Amino acid sequence: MKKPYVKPSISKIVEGMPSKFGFREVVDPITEIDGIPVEKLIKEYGSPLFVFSERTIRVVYRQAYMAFSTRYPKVQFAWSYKTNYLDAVCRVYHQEGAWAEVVSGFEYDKALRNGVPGDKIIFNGPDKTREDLAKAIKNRSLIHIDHFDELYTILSLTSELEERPQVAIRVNMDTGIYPQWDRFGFNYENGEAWTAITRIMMSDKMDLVGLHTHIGTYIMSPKPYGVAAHKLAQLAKQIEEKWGHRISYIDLGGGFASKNTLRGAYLSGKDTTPSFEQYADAISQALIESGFDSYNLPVLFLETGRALIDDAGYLLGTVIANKRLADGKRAMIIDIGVNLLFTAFWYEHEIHPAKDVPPYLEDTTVYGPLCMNIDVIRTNVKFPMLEPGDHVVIKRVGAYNTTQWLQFINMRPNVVLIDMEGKVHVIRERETLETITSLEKVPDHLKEIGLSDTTENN
Amino acid sequence: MSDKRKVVVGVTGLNNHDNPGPGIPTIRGIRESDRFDVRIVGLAYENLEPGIYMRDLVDKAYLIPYPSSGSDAFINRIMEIHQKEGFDVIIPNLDAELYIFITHKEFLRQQGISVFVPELDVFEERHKANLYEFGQKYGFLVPKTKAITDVKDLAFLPEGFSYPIWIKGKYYEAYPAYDYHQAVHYFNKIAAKWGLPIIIQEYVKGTEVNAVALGDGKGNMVACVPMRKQYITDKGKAWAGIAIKDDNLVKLAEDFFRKTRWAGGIELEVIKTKDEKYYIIEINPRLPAWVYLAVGAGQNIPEALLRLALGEEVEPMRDFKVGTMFIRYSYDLIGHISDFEKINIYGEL
Amino acid sequence: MKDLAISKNGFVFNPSTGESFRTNEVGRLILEMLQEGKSDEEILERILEEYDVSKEEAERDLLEFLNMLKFYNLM
Repeated sequence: MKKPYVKPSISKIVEGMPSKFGFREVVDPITEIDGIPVEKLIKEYGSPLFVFSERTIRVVYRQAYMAFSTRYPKVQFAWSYKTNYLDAVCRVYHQEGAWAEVVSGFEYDKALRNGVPGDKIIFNGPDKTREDLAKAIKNRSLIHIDHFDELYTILSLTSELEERPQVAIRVNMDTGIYPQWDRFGFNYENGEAWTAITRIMMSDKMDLVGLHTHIGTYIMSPKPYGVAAHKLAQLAKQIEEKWGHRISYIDLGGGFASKNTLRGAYLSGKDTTPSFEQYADAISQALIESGFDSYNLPVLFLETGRALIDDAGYLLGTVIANKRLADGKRAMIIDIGVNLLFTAFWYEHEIHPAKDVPPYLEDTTVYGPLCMNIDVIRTNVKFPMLEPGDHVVIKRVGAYNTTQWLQFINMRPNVVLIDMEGKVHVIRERETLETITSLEKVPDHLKEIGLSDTTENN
Repeated sequence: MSDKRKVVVGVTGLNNHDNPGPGIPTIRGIRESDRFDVRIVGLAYENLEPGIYMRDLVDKAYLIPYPSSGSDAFINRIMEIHQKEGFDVIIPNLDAELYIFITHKEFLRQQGISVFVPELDVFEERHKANLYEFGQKYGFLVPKTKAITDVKDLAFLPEGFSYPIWIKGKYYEAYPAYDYHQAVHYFNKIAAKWGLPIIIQEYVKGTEVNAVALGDGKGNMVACVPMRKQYITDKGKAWAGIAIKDDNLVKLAEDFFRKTRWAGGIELEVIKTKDEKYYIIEINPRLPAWVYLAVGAGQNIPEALLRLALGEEVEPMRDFKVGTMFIRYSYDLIGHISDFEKINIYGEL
Repeated sequence: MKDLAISKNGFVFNPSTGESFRTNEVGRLILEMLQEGKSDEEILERILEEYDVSKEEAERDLLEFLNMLKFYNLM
């Protein structure tokens, strides 16, 4: 009986060098997702492969909803389409009760197609055309006004349309965090928000139903949300005092961090990211202490995307090759590039082998397959030795990757959803050469290129 | 037969080179106690932390993973060592590991390990990046402080800032920058090592004075010794210092504990201006590497910290010998490659 | 190469440079055979005898391992 073979390895013991890595780091394998073996998924659907877990989506959504609804009586989530607008994913959220939050005419139409009623769509963002706005007004969608030009477009539309626009304004403010987002909406501190509110109230041609803010992205502390909730509540109360008008909802947007570790962060995101409960504590406490009548509390809207979906997405891939760099450092090339994993630019994504491997780890750079220097998935990660053809699993990729991905150098792969019963469904088919070329047109004079096959003469 | 209480104490921060940690001086203080018969278990991150090889001070040493590898790996390793050693107390000595010790304090207590650390909210509040807000909340003078994440912010400094400014890392290191180019240099240098954000701080003119102090977590100050650095290395570390009489600083420290109910040791770094104003420039959330000066001056702060961790009542110490000095020196410890082999292959020595 | 101290636990110490290394079981076997002056072919043969591995894989790994030894100035 022969002994099991492990690839021979040798590495220098670095003496006392402070590195971010210590003793006995373990990289656990991920061999299956929701009970389906990774090997099987790749065999059937190809590599690379995006995998979404319907179970995780629903579980995390319910955790988030529970965290807020146990602290504040009226809570409504709206699914942020730009975070992930695959129809199947959106519909899971809608089935759970989430409305739609969209930021373009394209996303708006996608939400309608998914069966979301017009009055359950929140229309955000600076880019809404006159046609988009007219459609949203007719559907009684909630239009969150971003700038004065938009406000005047809506005003001018009111003379053409019968429906009264249902509007909110987006407010930006100082919540003590840096950088302060001031490019969207109307500023709180300099009185611009109040001017916009006054303009809307005086026009008497639309209904100011809500107040909205979105303080930033990947906010690692719950406190600024408390500040934001407090400031919006103050605005709502001033409106009530001045015009006797009640705001029906306060929308605190999104920006909750997921458990990914940001590049450059020292501690792991799993340890430092606040829980939904912590965000909910800060927000609900600020709202409840704001002095609204307890029987007339505004509804709390939340548009968090990343924190809801990140954990549900996995990206499966295959090792293409191993090599030694000029300085002796190990490098591993996988078939997942930054064109698919856009978030590799800001996260230290967790990467795992898909099978049990010897525990011996080595500092490794993980490269993608693109013939481009920027294609780095991890600059430095302790990783076990994998062979070409072995599979890897990258965790927490659910947010933004299937919306920001690029068809670049290669085509985009299959996306599958594992349902609650463990059945696998393709929810977006892999692109083919035809997918790409069907949109292209070649002018007549370029149809013949004139190069002939000369191999026969050799 | 001695009637000293037997305790097993885990201590981190065993680095004792030109950027020394507080582990070794803390151990010296505890070893001098008449109350305890201690077994010291050193917890080290690097294979050349001198404490590993100081057999007269450290009974047994183990390597542990860096906090950045996540709390699971960190706590699992602590539990593995706990099985063998049976810790009564662990004294964390490094800023970067405190977060995990604080968030797992209750878990460790259930396992029989006592860790005397502050509550998470006040620990976060005094963080360099939040220090200015901290000062406003509790009524302390603090130079303007802001956390930045982009080197571009140095070209157009936020409102209220002008050069010179301090450039500081999230956990360690600080340099004064007199212009944009210096600032960029230090920003990149610190960011590469300690990550983002980088903290910029208004440069307040005056004399720097420091204090090591201990709070009981109920609002009382148990010990405090003020010190002025007499000699500073190019890394900004005190190489010699002297215990001074500064009642205002002691009062400031007392005020800090009363308002925050901080549990554990701190190092207060303060700038005293010509007109006798005290600006807090940093609150380090653990004992400093020069804590043995306090022991020498008559306040055994490490022993008091251990007693508090064990749940004992500790009478506040007020007196200390003004003029007590410390002078750091280096010393060549002799080891052998076989020791180095053990710590690297088995992770313990 | 001859001077290398190789422990059973995989610790390798180079007394002429003071550097130390960590290796695994197959790595140790290769190092010990090199010390005995064995050729690459002999080493490969021995690995194939003792371990469950294809010739192609063992050959490629041996080549890479020898390259690492050269990189670390161990041969």
